[in-house]
Amino acid sequence: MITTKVEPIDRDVQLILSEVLSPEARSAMFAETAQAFLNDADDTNRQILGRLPPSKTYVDGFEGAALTAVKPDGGIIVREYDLVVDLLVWIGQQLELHSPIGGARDKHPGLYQHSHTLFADGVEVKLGEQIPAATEYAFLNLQPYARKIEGGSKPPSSSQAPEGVYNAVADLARRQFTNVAKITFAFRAPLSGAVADWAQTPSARAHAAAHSHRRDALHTEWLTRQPAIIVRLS
Amino acid sequence: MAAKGVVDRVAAVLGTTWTATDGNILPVFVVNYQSAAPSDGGPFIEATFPVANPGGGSFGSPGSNLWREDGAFIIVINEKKSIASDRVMQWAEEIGALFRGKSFGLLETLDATINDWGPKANYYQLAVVVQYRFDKIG
Repeated sequence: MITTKVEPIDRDVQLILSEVLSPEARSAMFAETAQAFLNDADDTNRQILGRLPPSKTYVDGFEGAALTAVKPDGGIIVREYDLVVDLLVWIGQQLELHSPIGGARDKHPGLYQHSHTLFADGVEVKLGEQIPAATEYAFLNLQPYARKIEGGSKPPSSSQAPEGVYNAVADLARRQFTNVAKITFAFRAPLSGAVADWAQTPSARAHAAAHSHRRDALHTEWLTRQPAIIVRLS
Repeated sequence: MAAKGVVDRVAAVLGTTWTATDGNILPVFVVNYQSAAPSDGGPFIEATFPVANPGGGSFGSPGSNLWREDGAFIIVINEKKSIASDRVMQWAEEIGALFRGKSFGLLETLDATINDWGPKANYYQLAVVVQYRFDKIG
């Protein structure tokens, strides 16, 4: 049997080889056919994702073995694509690309744009670190953004709304990676980072008291509530 | 930023005011054109265009090549905080239906999802997120 495991397209192909051939010839024919299917799977993923995602190939359970080493009878060749990393990279790039940069009066233009943070099962993944295996990944920004500290009497203006970027990117990711993971837009309140530090300042507490219309115990959650993209593996 | 053709078509569909089936008339602000909001504190609608990804196109026919932009625009419905959620949810459903799976010339709108953005200043926000494809010939 030849199996090419491809997301978002799965294929299982069974190959019946003539028993007249020698075992070596059957393995060679198996490998040749498998290579064609693997190439096809690579092409499909390249077309869908725009680049070839990392993959591992197993021949009868051995990673990286030559395809011709496959058993002539009952052999299995599997190629697994790491599409979750590709998905997370795509989301991170989109968030940075479309984030508000800040106006002329912004003290730190671009700070918000470069402060999107990935969490894997609640643990921050530092920039440049290998992304660990997890059941849930979350993107959120640890910087308080301008709208958060707008006066409550002003009407909201969404032209530079981070909610909009997160919500739109979540929806686009869901469409593009529908078979890879469950992707949702939500709000989360981080317990660390600049936004959590800011929420403890006297001015932030006063702001929450004046505008949140909630009891004191809920002020921190209200102040730190950030738009987030949640990725759960199915 | 979305192509002007996208903004113009969305603005044309919504108009300067949008009338819900319950008879309420909401002013519409297309953010790229105006950033004001009504001073009377009443409900209003904003159209925003936060994500636009220009894609590749055909080539070999200068002037008649097709270039595709993928993205999502958002219709934010700002409802007064003091009002129960029934009517703003109905408005969101109606606006979603205006765009879900529709074609407006070179603009094709795909799915439209409704999301609760919660309180913001004196308002409560629901967002209708509409994915789109927009083709340009050039």
